[in-house]
Amino acid sequence: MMHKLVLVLNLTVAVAVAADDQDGKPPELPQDTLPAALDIKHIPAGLPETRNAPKDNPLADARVALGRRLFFDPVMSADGTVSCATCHRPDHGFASSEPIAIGIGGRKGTRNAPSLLNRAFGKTFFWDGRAATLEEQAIKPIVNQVELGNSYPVLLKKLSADEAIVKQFAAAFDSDTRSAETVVTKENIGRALAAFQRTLLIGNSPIDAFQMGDHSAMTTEERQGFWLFESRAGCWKCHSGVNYADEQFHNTGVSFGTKNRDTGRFEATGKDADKFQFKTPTLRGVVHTAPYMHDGSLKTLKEVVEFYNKGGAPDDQRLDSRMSALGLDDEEIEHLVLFMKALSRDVSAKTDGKTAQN
Amino acid sequence: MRSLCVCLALMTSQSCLAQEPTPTKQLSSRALANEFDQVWQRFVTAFRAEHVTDQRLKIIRDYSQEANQLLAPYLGKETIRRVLPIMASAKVIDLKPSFLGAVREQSEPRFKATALLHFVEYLGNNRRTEECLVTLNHLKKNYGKLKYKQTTFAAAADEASYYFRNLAVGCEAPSTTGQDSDGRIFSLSDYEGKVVMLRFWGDWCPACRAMYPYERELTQRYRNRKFALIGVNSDPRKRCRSAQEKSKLTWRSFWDGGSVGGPIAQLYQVEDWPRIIIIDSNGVIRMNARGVDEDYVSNLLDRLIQEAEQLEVSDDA
Repeated sequence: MMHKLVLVLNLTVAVAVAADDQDGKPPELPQDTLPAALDIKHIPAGLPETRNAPKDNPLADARVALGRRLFFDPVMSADGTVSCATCHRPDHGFASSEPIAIGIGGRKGTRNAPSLLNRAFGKTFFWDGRAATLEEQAIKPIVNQVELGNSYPVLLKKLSADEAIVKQFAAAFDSDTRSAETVVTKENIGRALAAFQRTLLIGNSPIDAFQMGDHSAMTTEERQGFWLFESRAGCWKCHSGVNYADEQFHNTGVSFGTKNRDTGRFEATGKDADKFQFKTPTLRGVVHTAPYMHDGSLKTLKEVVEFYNKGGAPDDQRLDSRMSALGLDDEEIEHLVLFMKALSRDVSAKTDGKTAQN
Repeated sequence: MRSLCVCLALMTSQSCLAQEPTPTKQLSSRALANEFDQVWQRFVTAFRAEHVTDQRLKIIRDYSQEANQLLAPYLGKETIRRVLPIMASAKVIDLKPSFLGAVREQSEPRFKATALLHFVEYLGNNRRTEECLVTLNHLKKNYGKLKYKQTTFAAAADEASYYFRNLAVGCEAPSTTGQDSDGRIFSLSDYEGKVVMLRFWGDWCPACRAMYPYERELTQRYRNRKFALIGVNSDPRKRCRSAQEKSKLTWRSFWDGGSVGGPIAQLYQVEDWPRIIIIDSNGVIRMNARGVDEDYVSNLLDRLIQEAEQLEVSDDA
């Protein structure tokens, strides 16, 4: 049961779905390669105990199924060419392989599409935290003109016209009426997509197994990377907690010196102090989600560690106080990368459920 | 706790009063220790039951007086010598008159010096570091050349001074570098910003082994928070590693040279195992103790980790 997501992440078999915007041809739509049933009960080892589902959207199979369908369905976009999965690719850690996400009609967004993995444990959503809930977040890309480029009335009308989809909405939201207007709503789309996203969990890593006492779960190099992570490298200062993310906003100096630098959190709060700050992403599953940072400017995990090793952008006056040059040597950088790779691996994929005994 | 500190500060300014009449019957040292212990127990009960600062101060004064009166007739006698170590572990009540009385009234210099050492221990227990250092200076100057155990009182005074300057609660933890069990060099300062529990251990030591489950519990409880349990191991490297694997010790340890008395153990004056030193996120020692009162340790860690995490939040605000 617990290896489902692992299977997904290991499915690098999927076709290359590179956006072919040069020819103006729409990109190939990512297919739903997820396991038949998504687990709404089991949370992989090492993760928080609850997925923070709000009271009005308890996790239920029918909602997950509906959300899943909508997630992969290009009907969500204005011209039926792109889906949520276009940028949040299941074979790419539910992130985009493009540095900057490419949406409808080959239109370029402004940021790297963040991974959806473990967002069940999120406190705010989007890179700048402008959505307070997953429900609120999930519907915004629908009307973003560089993402799905749609409008709610048009989408609701289209969905309501499809009897099968209306039925699925009715089943998901226990509606006794078959009236499309009351059940096919913007809010319910958000709820269904949020429910689906709450099933996208990654955990049970070698580090979790190690922390539960299994020394053999990690290699010496991975362990050394872990020791660095939680000490001198200072990663723990923001990638804290069991999901390796403090859910806070920081300016690490990414995109410092670029023209029209993205102001990040400032866009959501309007507070000057929040300028250039972006939300800390989880490190779980990070090996799958290259390129990195909110602007997709770093191609590999090694480049990311090298970026932090030089203290981000030391000349940036607004740099977070946690940032400083680290003085890591090449071997230590390698160990940190190995640690992050381990953090993205599920031990049950190797030992097939044996870890469940812990 | 805060009111206790206030009391301590007030107490130190009090002078010792002349003690009154001699009881008719002389007690044996065991009986005297017993009597003293009873006064102490009654004090603790009364003190804990009272929460008004002024009332607490009165309780301290009353019981200090009672204890000093009890001890007064014995200060120049042999009887007191076996009671001094017990007095040294008392807290809050003011036993300075009795300690200094013993120094004055004992006839042999060696016993005067011993009484001073016990006084230092008492002062240390009561966090009166400045007085400790002054007393140790006095001890070294006046009795330094006298033999104490295998060395001299001067050596003992130096050792104690080092402790109070570097290792006592409130001191900044000495800078500590060594290799881990994989042979990698690391430093205590790498963990700056975290609460660190430095734990001197060895798989050879049954009391250390008995602590493994509690330590596992701590690392689970504070997983990925501002906390690090760091061992200082005194086993041969092979045994250190096998203990880590076999007993599921998933925290990092300094490997301190393969036996007791390694460089880090010396730095921290650790001669008895297990020893626990808790260092706050600013690098200041907040506990340095031999045995483990698990409840005390857990409460202290809870508090310090919360402090460290709130510090961060206020930094951001």
